[in-house]
Amino acid sequence: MENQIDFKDFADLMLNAEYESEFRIGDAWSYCAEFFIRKQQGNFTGWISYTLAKAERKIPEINDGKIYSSSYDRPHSISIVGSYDLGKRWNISATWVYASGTPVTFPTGRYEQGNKIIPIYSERNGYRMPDYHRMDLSITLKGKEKPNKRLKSDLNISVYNLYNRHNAWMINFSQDEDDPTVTKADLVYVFPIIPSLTWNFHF
Amino acid sequence: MKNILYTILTFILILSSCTEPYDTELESGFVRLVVQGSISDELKIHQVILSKSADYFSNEPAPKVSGANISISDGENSFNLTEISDGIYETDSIAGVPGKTYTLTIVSDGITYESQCYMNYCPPIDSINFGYYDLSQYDIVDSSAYILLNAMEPETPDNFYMWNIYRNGVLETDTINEVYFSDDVFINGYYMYDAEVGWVRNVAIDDTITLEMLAITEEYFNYIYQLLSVTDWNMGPFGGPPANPDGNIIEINDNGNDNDDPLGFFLAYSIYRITDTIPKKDEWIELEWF
Repeated sequence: MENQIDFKDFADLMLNAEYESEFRIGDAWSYCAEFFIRKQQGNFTGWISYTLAKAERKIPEINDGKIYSSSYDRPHSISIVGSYDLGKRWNISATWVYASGTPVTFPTGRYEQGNKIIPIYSERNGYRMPDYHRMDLSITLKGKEKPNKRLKSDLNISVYNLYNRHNAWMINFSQDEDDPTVTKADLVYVFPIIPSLTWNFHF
Repeated sequence: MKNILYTILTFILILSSCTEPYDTELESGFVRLVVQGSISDELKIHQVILSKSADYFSNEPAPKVSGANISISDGENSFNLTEISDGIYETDSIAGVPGKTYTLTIVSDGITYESQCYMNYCPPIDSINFGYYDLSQYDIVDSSAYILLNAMEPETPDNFYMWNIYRNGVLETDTINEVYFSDDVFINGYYMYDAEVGWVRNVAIDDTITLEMLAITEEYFNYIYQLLSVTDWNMGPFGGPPANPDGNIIEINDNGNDNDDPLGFFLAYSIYRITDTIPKKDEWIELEWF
């Protein structure tokens, strides 16, 4: 792909009216293979999908003009979905998703300048965020089927992020405020385990 | 008409992001020489400090570099520096001259490094005033004094300045993020009338305030900006991709390979200094937000 864009070093993104001046233009490549299996009949249904992918960029002004992984490069993505009917009224289903961490630029070294610790960064997108994975579970109880009954309802209990995985939203590297010789990394995550109860009506 | 009444009851959780320490292994980076040095037009001892870069989680003071040969030259005269303690090198008492280009030469472990910096001319400061913002309507007692500069900015374009503040002889702006710095894009050739160039917390009447105005180079101005971009002004996911600040020190005879050049900066600057005492509050100037 030609004419792909990415941010230059020290791009100024906040309240910048001339945003386009922060881009640099170059070439990009992407490759992908997908696999998919599905079972549609019987009490147990579901699918498994797997994607193998690679995305790269080469922009003269970025990363000394060397090829680097683009910010949305996810080598492996897996998704498993299963649903099981327990008799006529009960249904249980579960999902598990997995995705490799996307590339980011982390500091590998540090030095001191003007009484501050300055990070030395790796090449552009030289590291990856931690892998993302999560399991969701859902149990549904359907209302009793009666002839001539117009209002139907079902009750659903579901749990998002069942095993409370702390998936990283961002990772901060900073100088410790109490001890300025210490540099540390902190992971910020957004969604912990979230149970929910839903009562659906159909008419 | 289906699903009009969809969700009647949900557990509403207050979503909040949570932070936890992140334990990761980072590669050991290539160890690079780090230079922090300057020369000014003041007659005094000038310092160059040599240290090394370290791993990101090394968590100890930067290792110093001893045994280097360092000299500063203005094209005609050359001044040698002597190592007075580990990694700290000093000149004799000398003064630079604005308008000259200074060359720093470092020979460390058999490798020669070089840096050049032009010394800009610094305009004189006529006077300083002290200002305050009236925050009484927010029930805030603000005992900070804002330093207001009165000076003529020269008509030549592309001048760059930074300002240091001393209170009773002690440097207040001792880390790079506390220093005010500016280009002359909006003030070129104008009189800087009560321009805010810094502030001091918790001042008392009769404190002695010294303002130093430094005429720096465009390269150093950009360098400070980049240092702050990767530290105090780093906006994480809302900012651009991080990168490494460009210093002005190069390894010579390495066929133009930038990746092993030293980090840091050698600055030549001229300086003007003025000292005043904090007057009674009724002589301060009330400042407006806009």
